[in-house]
Amino acid sequence: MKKKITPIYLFFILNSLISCNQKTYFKEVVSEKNVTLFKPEFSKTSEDLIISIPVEFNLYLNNFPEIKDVGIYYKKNGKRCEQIDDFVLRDGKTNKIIFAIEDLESPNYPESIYIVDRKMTIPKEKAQEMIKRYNITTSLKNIKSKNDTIKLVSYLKFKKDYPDFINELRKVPDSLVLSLGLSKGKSKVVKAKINW
Amino acid sequence: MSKGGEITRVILGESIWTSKGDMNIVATNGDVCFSANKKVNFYGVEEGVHIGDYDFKEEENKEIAFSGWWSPDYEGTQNLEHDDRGSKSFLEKTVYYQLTVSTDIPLGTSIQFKLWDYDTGLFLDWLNPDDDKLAGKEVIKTGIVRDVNGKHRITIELFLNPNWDNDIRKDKGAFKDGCVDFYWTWRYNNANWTSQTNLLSVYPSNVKLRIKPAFEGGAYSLPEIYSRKGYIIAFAIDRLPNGEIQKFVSIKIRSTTTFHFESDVQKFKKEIYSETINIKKNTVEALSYEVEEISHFFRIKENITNVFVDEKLIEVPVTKGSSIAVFNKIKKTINFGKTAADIFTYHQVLDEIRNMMPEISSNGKFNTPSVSTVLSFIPGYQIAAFGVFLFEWMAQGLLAEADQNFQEQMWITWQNTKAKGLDSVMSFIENSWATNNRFDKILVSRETLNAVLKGKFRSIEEIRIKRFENIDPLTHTIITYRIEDKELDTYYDLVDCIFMNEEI
Repeated sequence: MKKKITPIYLFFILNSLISCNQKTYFKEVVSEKNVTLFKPEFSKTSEDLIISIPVEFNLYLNNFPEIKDVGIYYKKNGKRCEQIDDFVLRDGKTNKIIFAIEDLESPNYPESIYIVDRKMTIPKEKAQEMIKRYNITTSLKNIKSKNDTIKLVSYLKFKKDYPDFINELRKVPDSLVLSLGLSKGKSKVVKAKINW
Repeated sequence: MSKGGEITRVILGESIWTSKGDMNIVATNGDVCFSANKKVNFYGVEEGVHIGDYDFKEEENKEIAFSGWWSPDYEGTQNLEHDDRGSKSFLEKTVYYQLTVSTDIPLGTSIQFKLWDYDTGLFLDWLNPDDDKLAGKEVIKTGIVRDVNGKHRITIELFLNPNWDNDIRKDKGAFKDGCVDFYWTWRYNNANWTSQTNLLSVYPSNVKLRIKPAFEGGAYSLPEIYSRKGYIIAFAIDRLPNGEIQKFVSIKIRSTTTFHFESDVQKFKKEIYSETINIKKNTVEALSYEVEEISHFFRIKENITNVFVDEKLIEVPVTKGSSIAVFNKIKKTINFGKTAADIFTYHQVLDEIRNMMPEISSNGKFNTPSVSTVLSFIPGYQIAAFGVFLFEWMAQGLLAEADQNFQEQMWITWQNTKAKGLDSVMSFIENSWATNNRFDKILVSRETLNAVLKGKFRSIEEIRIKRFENIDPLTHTIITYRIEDKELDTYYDLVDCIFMNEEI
């Protein structure tokens, strides 16, 4: 007698038809925070600078009381980045560094966060061109220590002025992944590609 | 401290009481009697004998006073965190109650203190009587008066036992506040005292980062530590055939690599020894490990097709005066020394491990591990068919069970991945199962790692803050994931294992 086996794919199709209401946990927004320049922590070529382009997200985590734990993974150019060494997360409202979103709890999750990359380098000449354009009163000489930064312009404007730069960023896909720990030991992973 | 009663002294020979200062014999409610079969003598050498009234008021004017506070340190020089309730602390921490006493309370006086939990119900204490039992037991501490810069003080050490978590959770609801409020009561000189005006609010533990011990129920709670290639760095505890455990020190690196046979070179590189350890039953079954000094361990036969292993016990007499002996597998030498720091030069040894070194075998001789060595290692399971296609064979109703099997198999895969080395681990932790369990890596310096092992960092946040402030060379990779705390319906982070970033 032929054994009747319910193919598993049918179950999944049915399931996704039923749960039509998509839950939005986070969304990328075009940041109005500034693009900044600063000195790299370990300079291989002392001429290069780090350019930090803020990629901002609105978080809706506080709307879901079943969320008990959150982890964030940032993947850039196909490589998973390390918090602190490769990037820091900042609170969109207070601009303070969020050292560990894992240690936060509902309803105290930040409502917006932005990533500050600490490893993206830019050649000296390009940096000088940008400084001339946006912050003429300052110069590269003003960046002496690792705590000095030069503000350029809002990312919103930067995007319009340097489309090639942005396209370069889009070449290899980057993504943000949230690993959610829910009530009663359940879990959920939500991903989004970064559109820059 | 005695409550009262009779003291009778009967001395068969001569009894002499001498005091360098004044000596007072006082009966507050009765008579004082001196009787002798022969004669009673009173002598006052300088001023003679004086008979008159005794001034009891002087006695009552002695000052008895107590003034206390809570501190995180024994000396009482630091302050605890404060909120609007007063001093606060968390379970798993140790706090000290400092009680300054009047100097009329002599040094060395012993007083018993009992711990209470202060419960208020809308300012009506009878609604919610105070509790003197924590986790079902009374907490009583003995304090001894000591001298601190001329002042008399009692310091009581109190470890905030994580078992008291239930008492805190009971403290939730209409009149309750999610913490316990501690005070002490004690009795001195027929009076009852309390420190109710100086409560300590104790909240649930704020430890968010814990370490998974490699040994279950062992004396050491170190996690699994691997070299970059996946060789385990473990402690060996020697167990004799009669069951007696001889502890000795060894940093031993094992691998389960396979070897090649080269006929023109008399070197055998083959997985020649098999022995597994059943961690649950703590018995030896079979295990594979690499042997470097092969000549020590096998006999060569003509027309070799098989290799027989014969493990030899190397007995090494111990240098007089040394308390530590270590066999250095890489250098193939045995070093003796007074402290572990003298010995561990080649390996990157963590300070915490050095402090945990037990002493050499009790028979005065140093033995290499026998085959019945118990190590922290989970035997490799063979995963047969594994993958998404497994689910094709299950009906909808069995999905839950399949999920359980899947979880178990993934955990086993994880154990095997660790033995393959850091690079394998790095790609494994990005797979969907690991992402669901929030696996993550944290690169740390040696100093940070030592602090983590000592429990000084209580959360991932603290580790990252340290990294932000201090760019030390990153020598190790810590792998963590989240673990559900079922009772509190929350999660915490667990250190699963540690990898050395550089191959040694």
